[in-house]
Amino acid sequence: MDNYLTITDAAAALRAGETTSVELTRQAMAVADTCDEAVGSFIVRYNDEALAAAEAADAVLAAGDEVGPLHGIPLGIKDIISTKEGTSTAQSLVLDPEWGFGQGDAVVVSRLRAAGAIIMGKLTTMEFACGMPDFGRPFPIPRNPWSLDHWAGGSSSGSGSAVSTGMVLGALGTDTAGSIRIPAAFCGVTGLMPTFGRVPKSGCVPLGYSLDHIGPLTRSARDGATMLQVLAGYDASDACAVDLPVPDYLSGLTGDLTGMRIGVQRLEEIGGRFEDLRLGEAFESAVAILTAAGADVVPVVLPFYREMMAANMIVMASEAVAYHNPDLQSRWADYSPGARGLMSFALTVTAADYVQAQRARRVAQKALAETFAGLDAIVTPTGAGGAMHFDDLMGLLGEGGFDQIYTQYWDCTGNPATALPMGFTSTGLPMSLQVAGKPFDEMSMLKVADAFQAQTDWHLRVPPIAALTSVGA
Amino acid sequence: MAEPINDETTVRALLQMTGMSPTADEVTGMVAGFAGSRAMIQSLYDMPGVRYEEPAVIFDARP
Repeated sequence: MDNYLTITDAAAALRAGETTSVELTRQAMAVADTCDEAVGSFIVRYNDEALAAAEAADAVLAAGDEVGPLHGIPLGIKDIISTKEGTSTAQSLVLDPEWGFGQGDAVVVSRLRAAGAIIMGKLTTMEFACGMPDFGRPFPIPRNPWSLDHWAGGSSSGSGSAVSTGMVLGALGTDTAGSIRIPAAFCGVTGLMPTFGRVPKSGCVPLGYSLDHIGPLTRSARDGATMLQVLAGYDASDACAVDLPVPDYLSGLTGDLTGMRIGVQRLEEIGGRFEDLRLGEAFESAVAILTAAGADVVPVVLPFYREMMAANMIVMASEAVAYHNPDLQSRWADYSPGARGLMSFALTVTAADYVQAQRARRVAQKALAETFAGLDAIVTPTGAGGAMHFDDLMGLLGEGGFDQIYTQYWDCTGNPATALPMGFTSTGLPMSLQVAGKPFDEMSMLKVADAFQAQTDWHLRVPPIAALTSVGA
Repeated sequence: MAEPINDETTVRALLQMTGMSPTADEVTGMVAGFAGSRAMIQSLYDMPGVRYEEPAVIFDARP
């Protein structure tokens, strides 16, 4: 059988009778059998449950019944989001094993299943979505499938590497400071953070209540749109969920950007000292592709960029410590050094500082809305380069280390943002373009991302570790 | 005589208040980063337009 790289192709083949859900599921399992031990994408695999669900999906197809957009498609779930198959760990020794017990599927998982998805298992993360890889804990180390001694990015690490290798065709991740877009960027796939409030986050272990987003990691923006169509929409279980109509995202993906205006900022004044030698050329080339697709591009300056990096840290660390405080007091040593490092920052933050950070977010939102006037999207690199070597990773927590990643800003403002592959660094690691939209206008953002991918094939590149794997290979 | 107030005594006092018990190396790191963290936080009080802004925290009276 063919190896289907995208949800779009696999779903079309299923409907055409060219493959079955069982074949797709076995194909994904074969990749996991080959790659997962080295790459560390899965915390737990639900092989038996997945195959049973795939058989049931095939029976529905054979009966000619109407099926959902993700019918028979193998997907993975970040292990801070609840599923009915078992408990979640949040990749931590600390999370109460009873967390989520009896809760069953989170709203987002329930929606995926209702659309026909096959849940393959739970995917690795950083501890509580905020730590760093820790070789001293009894959890898989999420490695970069393009270079195993490099980080997969985080915190939706396994979601990025599993999609990159083909262990799943799509995955759920969460994003509080970049945790969907960073692993997407480092693993060479597409990561979509929706507008804050667009997708309900109940059933997910919280990191920052006012910053957390759930969204898809997929190979293409079109696949991301397909998943978002299923995930988006109000649910009363999440106080932050917003009750707005969900548009037909796929209808806007024409490849034609005529009439669209796109703001451009390379952000070298933020992370220039970290820039890879090829970043500038790759970014300019990406902008040229958008221009060729019909867009007008204009330079912009994101207002209050540094202040929003500060606000993101203050809000995230404070909200995290509010949640974790009892365990931090009694089980400090059971947390990984990375999680402790981030959360200890909250020690320096007063209650007034926290409120001030939330006021600063409003100021930046309003200033950004003025910047966005007359624009349909804003593009930047997702980061200054590619994935970090494990030896360099703890430096991220040092002063200025986060300057090389350009994701936090959009978590703070609440705008949607997506990361998509745009080439490779001088050392052969994926680089990424970030496209942001206006609040609740994921449509324009996806339209730009899809148009870029219609003219490039970076998102279809498969890391060598997975390139030769298929059922029977 | 009271201990002079500096970053180290401040960090240690905060740790005592919160009941957390980091390692000696972590405390050293926290002390080293304290001034930078406070400067970063101060930048949010200095933003133009922030003086009379409402916070992005929503309380809904409906339970």
